[in-house]
This record gives sequence, structure tokens and C-alpha cells, in this order.
Amino acid sequence: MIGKVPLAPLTALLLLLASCGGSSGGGAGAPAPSGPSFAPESTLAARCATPRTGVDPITSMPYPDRQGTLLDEQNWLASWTNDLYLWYSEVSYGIPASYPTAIDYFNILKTNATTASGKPKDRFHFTYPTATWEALAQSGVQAGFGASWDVVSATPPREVIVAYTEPGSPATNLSPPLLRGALVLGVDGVDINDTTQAGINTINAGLYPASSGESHTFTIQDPGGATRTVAMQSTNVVTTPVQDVGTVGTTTVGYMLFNDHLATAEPALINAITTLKAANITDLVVDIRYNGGGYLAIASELAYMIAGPSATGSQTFDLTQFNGKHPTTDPVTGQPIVPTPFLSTSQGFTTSPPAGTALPYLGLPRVFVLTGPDTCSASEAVINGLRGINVQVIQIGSTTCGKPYGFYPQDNCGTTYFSIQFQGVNAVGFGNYPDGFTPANALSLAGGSTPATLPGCSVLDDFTHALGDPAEARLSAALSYIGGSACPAPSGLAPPGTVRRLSAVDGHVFKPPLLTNRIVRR
Amino acid sequence: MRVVPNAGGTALALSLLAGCAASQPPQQTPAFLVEPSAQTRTELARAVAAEFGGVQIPLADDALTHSSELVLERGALRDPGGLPANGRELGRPELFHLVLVDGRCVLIHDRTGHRAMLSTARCRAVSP
Repeated sequence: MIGKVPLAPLTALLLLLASCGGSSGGGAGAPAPSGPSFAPESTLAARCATPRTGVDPITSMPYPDRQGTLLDEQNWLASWTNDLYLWYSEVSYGIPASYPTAIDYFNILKTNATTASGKPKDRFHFTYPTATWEALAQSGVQAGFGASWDVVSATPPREVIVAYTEPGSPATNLSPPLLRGALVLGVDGVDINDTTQAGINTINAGLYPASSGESHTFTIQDPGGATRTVAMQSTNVVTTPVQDVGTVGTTTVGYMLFNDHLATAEPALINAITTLKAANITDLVVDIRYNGGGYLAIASELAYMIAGPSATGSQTFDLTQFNGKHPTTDPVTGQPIVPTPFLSTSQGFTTSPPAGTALPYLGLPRVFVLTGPDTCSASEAVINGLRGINVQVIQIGSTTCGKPYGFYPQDNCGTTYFSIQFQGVNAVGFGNYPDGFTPANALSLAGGSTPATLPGCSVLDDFTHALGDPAEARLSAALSYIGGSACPAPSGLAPPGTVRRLSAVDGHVFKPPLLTNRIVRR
Repeated sequence: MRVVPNAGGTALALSLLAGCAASQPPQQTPAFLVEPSAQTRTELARAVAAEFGGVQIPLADDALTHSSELVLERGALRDPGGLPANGRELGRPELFHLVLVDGRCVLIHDRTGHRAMLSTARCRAVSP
């Protein structure tokens, strides 16, 4: 498993951590609780109700903790937020001592504003125990079966579908192998629509094993309609971040499925672009419908390899902007804020090729991206970065997640806090896509064009065809667009779960370990 | 498994492994594991964990069997919406390399330079 703490115990650990601080506010004869002190953050950091001792095993540095109080931790959160939170002026800081734990107090230290579509502006505010956050794993290794489940509907009638599989995994070693579009009808003898808590726990535990070596059975309806029960044992599956690279049929259209901005994606993308360049492609379709992001530098490398040196030159790929208190200096690193360029050489995520190796490039004036609600963060940065230098990005699929933001996760007293600190903008200063990027022909459903509207077609996910199959609805629409045909009728804004055809659905691909274990629920 | 700190630099560590017999550092060649036994996988896992205070790091069963490189990064933690916790990661991964030194399999942690000999492992040089 990736995290060091299984999910259910993680909840317990959070509760334990949350209960360690005791109460430092109020009490008989104590002064009335007041707002935060807003003392300098550095004077409050690492003053802990329960200090850690010894050496951090990951950083090899002694823990900085010293004896403090719960109120110290809460006051640090207020000062830290007031200094670094992107929307610090929209926060109601309240009375720290009125919250029983530091995490409870942290949870209110965010904006309550909403986006134009009505979504909370800040959907990215959370914590992890520091030991869990710092834990390392081999790149792309997760305990599982090698099947990524798309949860179209988490509540009855539930729909859990195989979105894609990893080569050489238990899922693909079955005979016949588990294919995209296979429906999960039951787990370990529990019907997928079971409403008891015990049943739900069984389903979640089976879909997302905590470690390698777990045996589970699945009742599956294969894409052809046949039903079977299969047994699989979880292993530490290695994710292949780039798959299905090649030209589509006999065309000069290149295709690649890019699922994760992992470290191992750097050589994989280089190999993919080298292959496609050798094939003399004239258009490229990058399938990032399930790519939630990762290393920003890898996003920059991919954008460079698509656009080439003439278009990218010395242009900005992404510029980090903090709140107005920090216009020129990165307040976390102390370094001047400088743009991330379009990186034209490998950055050493692996040593083959070595850092500094010139990247191959296609030099295309336009690129097609296949998107969905799981297209997020660094994946959206590829879209935004290319748009900033006038490379046309044509979007086929559904609206992306809308996360132009980032943070430096910060430990204090054993909890790592995730609080949005910066926004990324492209070469023309645009980064305002909190509701995601949306294809232009979805306008009849969405009600108007926005700066985050892209040319393209609104198309729901199609589980009746393999990814990379020219007949798959999104790729098919891209090929039609390239051929000069009109988009199919827009479908990509339909609320998840309202469509019951596997050729047109949208859900979320959940890749454990999650912050919450409530993947399917009542 | 034996961990050799990089206190005196690479040359010193190599000399220690080679029994201090050579005046020149012995040649090291990138290598991969050949049919690692369960014992070897355990030894590898311990060598990696030793670099992080004994914390166990999930490794694939075929780690270092296809290449000489082992890449570690933060586990794929997710935010409450199921998306990567840090979708704009600005850091870099941890790298390890396996090399052959005088017929022995040695694991090198790039960041620290620490070396660990995998005494039960069989290695083969990576073809140039």
C-alpha cells in the first residue's frame, strides 16, 4: 500500500491526533476567549500541545517541535493563513479557542465564496497526518488489481465500471482479461447495491485493497454482457503513466493516453513523442481524461514537446502568483518569483535520459485534448500554458475540474495542512478557470462563453470502446473534427448519473488511498 | 546488507567495499537484479527503508529487475474529491541506483550517496 496508515485506522489516528491537544482556552477565571493574536507566524510555529521528539525519518532532520499549547497551534494557523492563504481577506478567523482541535479550527480558515457556477471556490482545503503525507513509495506503485474504477454513481443504483487497466496486472492477467467497460455487480459476495454499512465496507475494502496479498472476488458483467465471478489477489501494481501510443488507424493522427504526471512519465513522454515524431503525425490527440496532475515540470515538458522551440521560445509556461502581500518573492522558499518556462530539456525525474537532455518535439500549431472531470491541476496547466502562446487547444469531452491553484503542504506539530497559496497563470496572465475548461459547443447547456471556453465538442465518456479505439466517442469526435465534420450533439455537461448508457457517462475515477474511505456510500 | 555512509565520499565507500585493496576506485557498472529471491527482495526493502529511518517503502515485486534505477515519490494521496492531493507538485523524487562493484550488487541513494551492499542478490550489468 502507498500510505503507511490504512484508511480506517487513518480516521482513528486523525481522531487521536485531534484529541491530543486538550483545552487551552476558557476555564474558570480565565480571560474570555478572543480572536487570534496574529503574532508573526515564525514565533508560533512548532509550539505544540504534544511535541514530537527524535528525528523525522523522511527528512532526517530533528523534529522542530517544542512544548506549547493547543491555542498556540491555532494561533499559528491563523497567522499562517493570514500571511499565505490566497484568499486570506475572505476568511473569518473567529475565536480559535472555541474549537476543540487545531484541525477543527483549520477547517474554517478558508473562503466561503463560490465560483460563477455555484461551486465552492475552495474545494481543496484538507489535512493529513504528516507521517502519512511524507511516506514514500516506488513511483507509480499502488496496492491493487490494476483496474481503475470509474464510480459513475456512488449511491444505489450504483455503477462502478472499469475505466482502464494496467499492463501485467492481476486484472489483465485474468483469462479473459478485465476490460474497460466491465461493470462490477458484486464484491466478495455482496451485491453492489447493498445498503448496509457492513456491505458498503466490504465493497470499498474489495475495490481498494489496503495492501498487496489480499484476495477478493468480483462479480463482473463483461462488455459483451456475460457475467462471471473472478478472484484476484492484490499486488503492488506499477502504474504505466503513458499508454497506447501510436497513430490512429491509417491516419496521420497521433494518440497517447496520459494518465499520471508521475516521475516515470518523463521518459515515457519522451519515448511517446519520439515515436509520434517518427510517424510524421500531423495532429495529436492527448487523452488526459483521467489525469489529475502531478509534477508541474512534466506538464511543462509535454507542452514544449507538443509546441516546439519556435512557439515556446523564452515564453512563460506558468507563473505562480501569491496573494497581494507577496508580489515578487515566493514567501515559502524566499526566492524571487520567476516563471516556469516551457522546459526544453529533461529535468532528471529519472536518470535515463539524464537531466539536461534535449527533448524531442512535434512543433504542432494545435493539439486535441480528451478531457473529463478528473482532468485536473497540472493537466489543466498543459492546456492553459499552450493557450498562452497561441497554440490552439481543441477540447473534446467534459468540463475539467477547475484547479488553477496550488500550495506548499506545511507541517506543524505532526499535521500537514493543505491551504491554497498560489494561482498559476499563463504567458498572457490568464489563470481564471475555477470552473474548469469547457468545450465551446456545450454553450447551449452552460449558458454563455467564458474565457475558459475552448473550441471543441462536448462528449461524455464512452465505456463501450477501448481507449484509443477510433470508435470511442471522444476520440471519434476528435477525428471527425480533424476531418472537418461538426461535433456530435453536446452531452458533456449532463450531471453524472443522469445518463444510463455506457456509451455516454461521466463519473470519477477514484485512485486510492483517499482522504476518505467513503467511495461508494448509502 | 551493509550500509556505508558517504562520509568520505564515493571513492572511500567504494574502497571499503572493495577491501581497500585498490589504489583506484573499482569500476562500477549500472546493473539490474536477476531473479531476485524473496530474501533478496526483503534485503532490498530493508536497504531502502534504512535510508528513511526504517520506514517501510512499498516496492514492486519486480523493482530493479528491468532497470538499474529505483524512483521513489510521495504516495498517491488524494484530496477529499479523489484527485491528487498535490496536483501541482513542485518537488523532485528520490532516486536510487543499483551498480555492480567487483561482482557485488550495491544500491546507491543518489541524494545522500549512501551505499548498501545486497549480499544475497545476483546482478547483471545493464547492456550499454
